[in-house]
Amino acid sequence: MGSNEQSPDSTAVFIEELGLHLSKQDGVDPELANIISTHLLQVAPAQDVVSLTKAAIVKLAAQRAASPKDNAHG
Amino acid sequence: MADAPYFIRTLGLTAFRAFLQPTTFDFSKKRCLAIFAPNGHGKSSMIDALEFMFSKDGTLERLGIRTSNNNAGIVALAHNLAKDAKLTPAVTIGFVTGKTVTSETRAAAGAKRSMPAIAASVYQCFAVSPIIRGYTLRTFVESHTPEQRYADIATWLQLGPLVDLQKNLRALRSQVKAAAEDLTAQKRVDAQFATETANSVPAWDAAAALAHVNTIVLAALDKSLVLKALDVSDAAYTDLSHRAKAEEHQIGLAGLRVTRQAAAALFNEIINEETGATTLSGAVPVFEGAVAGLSKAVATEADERGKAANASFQALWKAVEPFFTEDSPNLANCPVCTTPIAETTAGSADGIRAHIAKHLDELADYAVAKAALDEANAAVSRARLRLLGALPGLSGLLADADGAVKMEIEGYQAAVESWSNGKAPTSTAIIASISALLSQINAKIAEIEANQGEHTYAKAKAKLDRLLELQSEHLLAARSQQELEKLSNALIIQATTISGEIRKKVQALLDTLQKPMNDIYRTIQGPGAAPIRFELPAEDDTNQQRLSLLIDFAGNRPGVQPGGYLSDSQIHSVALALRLAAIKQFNKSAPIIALDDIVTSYDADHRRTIAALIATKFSDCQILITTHDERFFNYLKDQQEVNNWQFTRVIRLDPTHGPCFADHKVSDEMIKARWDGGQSAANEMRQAEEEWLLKICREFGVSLRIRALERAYSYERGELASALASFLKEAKLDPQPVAGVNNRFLASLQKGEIENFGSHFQDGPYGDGSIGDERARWDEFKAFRAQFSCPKCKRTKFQRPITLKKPICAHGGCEAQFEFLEIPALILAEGSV
Repeated sequence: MGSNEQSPDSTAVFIEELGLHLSKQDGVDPELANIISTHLLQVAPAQDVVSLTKAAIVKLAAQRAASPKDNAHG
Repeated sequence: MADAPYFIRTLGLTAFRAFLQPTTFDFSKKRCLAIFAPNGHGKSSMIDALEFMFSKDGTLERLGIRTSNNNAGIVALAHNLAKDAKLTPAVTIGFVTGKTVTSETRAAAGAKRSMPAIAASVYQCFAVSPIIRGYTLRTFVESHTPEQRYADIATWLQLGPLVDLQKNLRALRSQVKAAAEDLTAQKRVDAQFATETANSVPAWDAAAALAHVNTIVLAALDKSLVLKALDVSDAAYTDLSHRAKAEEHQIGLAGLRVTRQAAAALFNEIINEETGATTLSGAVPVFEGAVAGLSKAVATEADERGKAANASFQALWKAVEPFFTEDSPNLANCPVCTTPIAETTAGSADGIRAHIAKHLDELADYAVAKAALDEANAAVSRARLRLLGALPGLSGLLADADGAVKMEIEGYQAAVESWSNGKAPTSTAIIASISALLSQINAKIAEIEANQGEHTYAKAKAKLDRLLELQSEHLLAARSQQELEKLSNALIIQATTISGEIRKKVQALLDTLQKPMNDIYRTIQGPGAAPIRFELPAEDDTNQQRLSLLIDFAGNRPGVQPGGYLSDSQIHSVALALRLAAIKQFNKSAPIIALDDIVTSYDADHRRTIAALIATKFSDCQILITTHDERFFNYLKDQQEVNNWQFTRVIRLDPTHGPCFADHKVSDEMIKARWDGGQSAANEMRQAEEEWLLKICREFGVSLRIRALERAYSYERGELASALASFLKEAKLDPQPVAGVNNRFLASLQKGEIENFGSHFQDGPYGDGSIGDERARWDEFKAFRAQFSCPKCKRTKFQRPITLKKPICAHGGCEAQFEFLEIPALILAEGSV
């Protein structure tokens, strides 16, 4: 179903705002929030979005593990 | 999004579902439609056409795309006779928004069934599906799980992406947690570590690894070399590195073995420990042996060469041999020199043969000696080549410290290179040097093997470096796992935040639905009906994709499932109220509602209530209703706004045509279109006449025999005409004769004379049924029909309250009593309306 007066644009806008809302949370991991926003918080995410997001998170963990001193969250 | 709402203007079905011949529903004048039909008459095909038009996949939900299991697939979209009738299955839809009218067609067969642009635009206006089918209502309340209900409502409210998002979040949380707990990477390091330590340390253990290095790797080289930690900054590691580097400049065990092998390739003396016999091997003795053999072969060949017959003897013998074979005739003279045989030295042919046999034996001995000489030459050549190859091989391996030996080798090499025949160059000195060298190397090898075996500092450093590398990999894997665990925990927090926001959004939307839904529900079920509540799971519930539908049934039964307490009609009402409220709330840009058999569960009062509900709360919507419930159909007719509604009945399903409608008016334009197409309009004219007669009979309150339900509107034309004529006569209403035809129109209808008008079996009074005859007949009908107009306002709709004898104009502002007016004969003759 498409848009209307109430929930129209609202889904896309709401999802976009979810990303902003998430990144503004206290103590949030911004890189993780960015990954979630980039992959998951989309109106039409990729078919294998879960795999892609998981791969991005695993990669982030590896990067942080490889340079523990540079990692503010590690 | 258009400013003005979208409404359906026309809906055409061709060879689609039950409709074979093209049929168009026209909503341009009255936008709402109710169709009554008994079951199995194809009434739902109109709703199917709408569902198909708005289907992304170009099918119906209950058909699916492919034929499998319970799905009939898209093949069932087309009428089964479409191919025979040479019709392309399709649905054509026209929309109007403001003054803009757009119409497009969607094919209902084949692979290309894409949604037309205008349908896609209208589809975008639907937050909630505009189609409500009765058989799905109960499912929603009773059979759906809270998860399915949540998904349904979320989809209606365009929250499908959010439902997917929550599903994805849940899957992601699960997968990341599993990854954080996955020890595969560390196990891989453990396996490699076990291999590197020959299983003495089966899994990574820093202390065990350090002990392994110190006791197994380093102690074999130097017991004083001990690492305090497995770290490149450890002093012992630095020491080990230096020693390994120094070792690179020395000939190690392997190098010594290579040098020994190269020396032995030149000369080696092996003494059998049991017999004490000495065996010499190597390129030098082999060469010297070959040279000695050659010398002997040269002497033998020279000796044999003198004994052998010369080449001229062989040539001569070859020429005369045929004459001296044993079975040849005895010759008197020599065939070469004509000397008499008896005068030769041999004295006879037999004597000559014996002489030749002796010389041939001497020639064979020479050949053997010559072959031996050739072999000796080849052996010397091979031995010399081998020697010349082996000499620089050893020389290249010797260090500077062995300069004297190298010079010896180079001198001998030069002598061998320059040797061509005669005695072999003297090898006494080089053999002595090689023997001494071999003794030295053997002593050195024995010493190294006694001290450190195969161990070297380079090997020890390589092993230590590999263990350090594995330590690094192990620590990296452990840190990665820790980081992943932190991210997994952070993900749970962020996912909870997102789910919470979605929950708020959904609850807010549900709240906007809850009140209007309860208003509708109470309208149907009465003010005493307990209100329905939508309830999401508690905040801490791990599964947020659920929706409970609850009622406070009684003081001691708060928040219970409706399915366990409500009646069948109440359950339907809950679902119907929810769907109608959602459409009203969210589909404002295209307020279209299609209701397919929605009142099956209701009693008469509730049906009337629902008809009233539609009239009062949904008058701004375009409503298309199909029903097999005639009482509901009549309630609708009683209560809906006449100006916006059209009502029709399917009187039968003709397999070769499709549903046949009783009130589907045949217009003048339709008849004219038939003629313009060169086709007979006899059937259409007959139907139009019947339609008009039925209408005027109803409006005038003419007494008609009551029909059985299944043939409710199948009055015969003559029957209608007769009833009308009787009524007019009793009311003293006398129509004017139609000019030129002596009013035979109505009279003939009464008599049934023209019942088969247009048939080629009919003789006069309307000729042979040609289009010209049809036109004449149609003009007469129109002239007759033109008399039935209001004498005051000229409108053509009437009614007759039961207290009046004559009908009156149905228009509220007129209500003039009906009388036939004097109409000029010319106009009647022209058939003007």
